[in-house]
Amino acid sequence: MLEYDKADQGDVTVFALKGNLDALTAPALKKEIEALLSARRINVVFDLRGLELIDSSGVGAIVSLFKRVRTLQGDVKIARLTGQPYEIFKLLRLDRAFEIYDGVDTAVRRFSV
Amino acid sequence: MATSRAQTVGQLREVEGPNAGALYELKDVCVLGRALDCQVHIRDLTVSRRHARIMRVEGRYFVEDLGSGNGTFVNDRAITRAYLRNNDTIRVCSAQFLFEEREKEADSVTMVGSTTTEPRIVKTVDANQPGIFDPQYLTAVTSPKDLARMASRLKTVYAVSEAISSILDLDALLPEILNNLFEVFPRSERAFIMLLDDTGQKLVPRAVKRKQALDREEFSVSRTILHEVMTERRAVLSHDAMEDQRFKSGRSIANFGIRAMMAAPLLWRGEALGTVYIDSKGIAAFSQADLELLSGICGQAAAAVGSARLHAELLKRQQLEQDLQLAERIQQSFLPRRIPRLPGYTFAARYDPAYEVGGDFYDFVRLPDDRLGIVVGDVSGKGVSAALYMARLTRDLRYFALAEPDPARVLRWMNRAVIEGGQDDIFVTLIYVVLDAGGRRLQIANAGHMPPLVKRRASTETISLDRQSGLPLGVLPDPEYVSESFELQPGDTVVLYTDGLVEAMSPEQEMYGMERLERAVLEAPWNASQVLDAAVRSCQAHVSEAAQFDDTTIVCIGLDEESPSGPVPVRDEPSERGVVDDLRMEAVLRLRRIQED
Repeated sequence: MLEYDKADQGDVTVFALKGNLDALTAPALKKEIEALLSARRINVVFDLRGLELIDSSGVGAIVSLFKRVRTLQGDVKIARLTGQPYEIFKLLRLDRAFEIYDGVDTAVRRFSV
Repeated sequence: MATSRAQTVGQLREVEGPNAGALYELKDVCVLGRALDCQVHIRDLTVSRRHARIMRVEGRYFVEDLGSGNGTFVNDRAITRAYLRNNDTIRVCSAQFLFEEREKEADSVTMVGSTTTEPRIVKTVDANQPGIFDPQYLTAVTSPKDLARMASRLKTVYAVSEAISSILDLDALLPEILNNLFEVFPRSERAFIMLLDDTGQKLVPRAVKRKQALDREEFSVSRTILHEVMTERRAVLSHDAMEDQRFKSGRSIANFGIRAMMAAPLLWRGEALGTVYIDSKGIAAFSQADLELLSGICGQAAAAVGSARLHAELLKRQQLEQDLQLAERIQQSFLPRRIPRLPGYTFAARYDPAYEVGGDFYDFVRLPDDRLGIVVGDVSGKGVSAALYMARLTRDLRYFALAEPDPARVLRWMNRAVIEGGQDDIFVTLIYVVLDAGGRRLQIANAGHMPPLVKRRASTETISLDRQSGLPLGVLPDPEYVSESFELQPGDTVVLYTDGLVEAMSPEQEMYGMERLERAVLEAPWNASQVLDAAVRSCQAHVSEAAQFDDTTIVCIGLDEESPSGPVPVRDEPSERGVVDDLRMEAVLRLRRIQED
């Protein structure tokens, strides 16, 4: 199961994920991602505090959004990455591609810097 | 497939709406909607993301509502599905389109026997030979100027390839090939493509293009030339401007009614599918270099024509079950059939597919100088697309490994290839190891993959080679990769594996994990295949009755214990190559794409 909550803070969209982001739930997230892109929301913070499990399809969905917004001069930042998702990000060295922050507000504020 | 109906082409003209005035060529399938990837993208919030689609089936177009919120209307009547006729109007919320259909102009090319005005072939290029498109040749070139020139020529071929390779509809593809040829060879006046018909016996003109002024001119072509192209598989050029004797004598060739022409076969998987022909009244129209370029472009065009044909076949049997089997077959066919043998070393490899086909792969590549490339990788996601992608990566890696000795640089090229592949949600973790058999040394480059484990004789701990891993392939355009060197000792066994092994779940939902793997590896006898067996058995015991969720792959490399010490060859350290290196990367990447079919 994956629950998500979307909130706009100025130019930045904060996407809070809760549950599992895997092969089963990634397609639903991809739909949300398409909607974001259609609406030209290209600055995104993923709040992953509630994310319990992520697999390669889940990482694929986030990476896909990351690649697409970057071509539009946007960015994806990650906030509150812990537990298994943190281990996966570290294992995949994705901490070198994404900016990762302890707090959502810090991540949002980094967009205006 | 015989059809009595004349071929038609359809287009949509947006007469009202956010993009009024726009003209859309209709392909086999065309989706109208608010989503950005719709072929007809309508910026209107009342339009559904995928609102309606227009399809061509057996030459006829029909429109279908895709369960939209606000409906699709043809001539002001709400429809779920309706055939389209010329000048029908289609309304989707605020946008109104006019459907226009016209018969394709009849393509007439007459084939004639020998005549007095027959073009004289003065140059040929063997289309079976890669020529300038040979990677060996490319690798041998070191001058920046030559590399730049070749890169530029490859760029042209690549650009054409890019323009045409995604067109899967043959009727759209062939005219596009001709359009591109007119751009590459600006002096072209007429061109056509003939393809063999279903019987494989008869050449049939499938697309013709003329400069506008030549609209009504009769188009005939000599059988001798077609024979030379199709049977001898040669690209031919008449009247090379520089060498034609009659031209040198100062007499105008135009008076003979002779044209300068080039023709080349469409060769695909050893089969001549057809002929591409270009001509011009300008006697200095084409050169030997043009002929080589045409031959190169035709290699691309042939691959696109071949794919379009396969695609058409695939559409005929669109059952998922069959696709899955196909993917599995493709995947299996790309895994190495044999484990390599090298004196003093033992290798072992095992791949266990999950229920659903996944994207794990491994490969061994024989390299010059007693070296062996070993790769283990994992494409994100599962199913048909991951399997197909894996097949493509295997080919890419083999190719790059042969062209470039440094593993980190091979990963850079692979990364570029994945990025240029344009599939956003795919990324690949991959470890590439080059074993220098004589030097007993590994060069390792890692793109976000599980770190290799080393079992060392008489050691109570495994060594984890995880110091220098970089990003997975396909995340950032140009990440840094580092080649890490590791000296092997007799009795060492290096274990490469995918996350499916470590993350295998027990029925109690407990992960197999690194610790169990390390213990199994440590406790195993030293021989590589024994280490592999021990790891696999230990993982299987853990998983027991639980269903296997992910592919698992494991590859072991062992240096024998009493291995005689071989001569350590003198090695060239990679020097600072800078610009030349980047140019070579461009050239090799382009070449790789060009040779893909």
